[in-house]
Amino acid sequence: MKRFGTDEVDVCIIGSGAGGGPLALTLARAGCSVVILEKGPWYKAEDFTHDEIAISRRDFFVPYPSAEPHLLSRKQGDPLEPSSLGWTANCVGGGTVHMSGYVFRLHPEDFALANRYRGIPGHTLADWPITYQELAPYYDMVEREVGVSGKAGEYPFEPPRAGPYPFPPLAFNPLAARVDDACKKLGLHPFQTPRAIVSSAADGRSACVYCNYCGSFGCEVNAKSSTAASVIPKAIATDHCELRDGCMAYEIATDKEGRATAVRYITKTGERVEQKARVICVAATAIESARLLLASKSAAHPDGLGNKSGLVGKNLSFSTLAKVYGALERAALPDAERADHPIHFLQRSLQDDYFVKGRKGYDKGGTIVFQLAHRSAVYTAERLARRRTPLLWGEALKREIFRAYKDVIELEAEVFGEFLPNPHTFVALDASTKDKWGLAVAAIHVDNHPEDVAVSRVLADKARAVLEAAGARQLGSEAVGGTTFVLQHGTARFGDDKKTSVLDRHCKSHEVPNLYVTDGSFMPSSGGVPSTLTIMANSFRVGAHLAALRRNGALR
Amino acid sequence: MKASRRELLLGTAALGAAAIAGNACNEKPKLPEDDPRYQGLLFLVPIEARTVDAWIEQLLPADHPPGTPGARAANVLLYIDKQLAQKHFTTIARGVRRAAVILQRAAVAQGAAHFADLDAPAQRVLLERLQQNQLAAFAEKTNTAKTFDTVLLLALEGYLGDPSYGGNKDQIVWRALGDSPACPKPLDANAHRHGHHE
Repeated sequence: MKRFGTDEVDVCIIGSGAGGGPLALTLARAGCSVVILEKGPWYKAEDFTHDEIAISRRDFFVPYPSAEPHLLSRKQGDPLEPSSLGWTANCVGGGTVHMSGYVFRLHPEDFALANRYRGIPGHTLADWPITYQELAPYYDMVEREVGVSGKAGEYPFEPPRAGPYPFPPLAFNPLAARVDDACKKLGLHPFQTPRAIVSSAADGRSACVYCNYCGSFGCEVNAKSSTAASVIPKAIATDHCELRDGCMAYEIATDKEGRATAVRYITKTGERVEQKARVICVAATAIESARLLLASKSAAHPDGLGNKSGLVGKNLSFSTLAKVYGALERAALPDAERADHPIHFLQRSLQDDYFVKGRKGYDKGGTIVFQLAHRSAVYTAERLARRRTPLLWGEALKREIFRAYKDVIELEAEVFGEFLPNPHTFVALDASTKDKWGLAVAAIHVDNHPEDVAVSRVLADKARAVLEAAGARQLGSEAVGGTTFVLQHGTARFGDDKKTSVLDRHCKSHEVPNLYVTDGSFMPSSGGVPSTLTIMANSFRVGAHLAALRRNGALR
Repeated sequence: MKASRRELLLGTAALGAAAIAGNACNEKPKLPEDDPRYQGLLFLVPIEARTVDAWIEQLLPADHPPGTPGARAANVLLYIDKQLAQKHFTTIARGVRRAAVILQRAAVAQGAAHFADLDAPAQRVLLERLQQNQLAAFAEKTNTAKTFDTVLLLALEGYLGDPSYGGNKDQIVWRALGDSPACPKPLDANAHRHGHHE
């Protein structure tokens, strides 16, 4: 790997996940000198075991609140309490490492929701300054560059696309046929879930081996298309990109004119270092990027970097979540379906209610993803315990645990919906609490808009109807109207008006001409899908813009 | 084995009590806490270990469903003790220690020498009250409900997690479930037959 030292490089990128990785690849290919600073470690495929305790229940991905707390208030008026929520994976590749890899595109209508819902009070939606058509080529690019498997043209509500997916769809469990039949019985249009998992070998990566440990785990064969498995190695191979892991950026330095000059960071050995760069791109997640900008105060930027509008940290949005489940009794299933099948993917989704048919006023729905319940044993048992308040234990819990493995196959549906940004959901810097480096932490204030909770319920009911029609019994739901904290957006929204946005259409700060933000911060609305694909596509889009500037000698 | 100060104190107290009771010989009397399972742990002293052992066996009792292992058979106590000894569990460990005292006090109030000496239904009644925060004295300002939930989650980890941490001894629980987190064997050609591969 090329080493640049701390003299001025063309671009310094903070964060190596969905917002940083594609940008790094594009710029490195364009010949820019690129340094990526990543606060977490650089795991290799062999580090990703199925040891549930180590990987998904300790600080392998997400720091302990005792070391690096977030402060979280889950409802307006609730006190702030230390939490590990609001972090995505702290490692090279960020949240793309432990994602499930459900990668849907936004729909064209998503780019103009403020206009559509101007009559609905209480939200702070804004229209995007770009259209679906402007982003579409970059969706194609990310599907190709990171590797996405899927089948185009299966359902009438599919967002426009130029051609087939670059990888054929993944194999799936025979129970998927039940979901198909149930959906069709209800007049719905199921389609195969597009996944950021490669179904055939490519770029030195193995095809998926169907180990069934995607979400909350890293991929042991690099089949999951994390940026760490896909674009980062390609960027490093250009010899124009250096990645420094274990480097926590804590301030962006500026000169008297207010231009960004360098990133100050703490290395894994505790050394404080300054990396100079012509252009600085922040891609540390919507929460952590806002924290960094707010912490980077100077005479020219007394309220935080690029924050004259006061909007840095505001308009935070997530994705709403609902989970519905139901059990198929093995004894009642035909032989072909009863036994454990080696392939655990169901690979079915629905977007019939991306806009809820017949709902007056606010009709923004979302996406229902069907899956078989995750096989992680502790997680399974914990979920069963949590289905009762207070928690279930003793004989009853043990019976449930053994039943879950022996007697039933559990079908699940996850519902992803629009999280309406609102004045009560934001990130602020809280200097009263410090992390292990003595840095002020992010205080996350959350409040759901009543309309998005109501729609989450509508979609959960729809998912429930499908599971029931598929033969599932003992149906239940969790977290309806809940929040997916790993999907974060909006804290530096882009727009054409600098009074109402932090970034311009190229995700460049309105105030700091060499500062860009390329994680989910730019998104003025969250979409009714997990946002990872969109963040990656936009990162390629911004990269193309910067590469063009470089070609014209204007990268500064 | 290195005895903690607390352990030594408790041991001395037990010997003293035995002497008063008229045990003239020099041999240390055999106490349930002397069970080798409660010796040499990293955090829990023997008398606490016995409480926690009984506690988690109620959380995950053997033979429900019939023939399935309980927490004891899976060495969950060993797992929990190792976890509580870790720095990031300091606060939780303190809570568990407090809860063990509260259970012991409640058991003694019912005439038992130790929480583990109560029969299973009586243990469960006390645990239910612990879970509902109804057992601690107001002045103790202890959220036993939170501690109860944490112990339950740790017990599930020790029962169902990787055996390398000391619990799920010899994969006893995975074997009983008929499932383990190992990657499945390479797929045979027929495995894709339902997959509509193109």
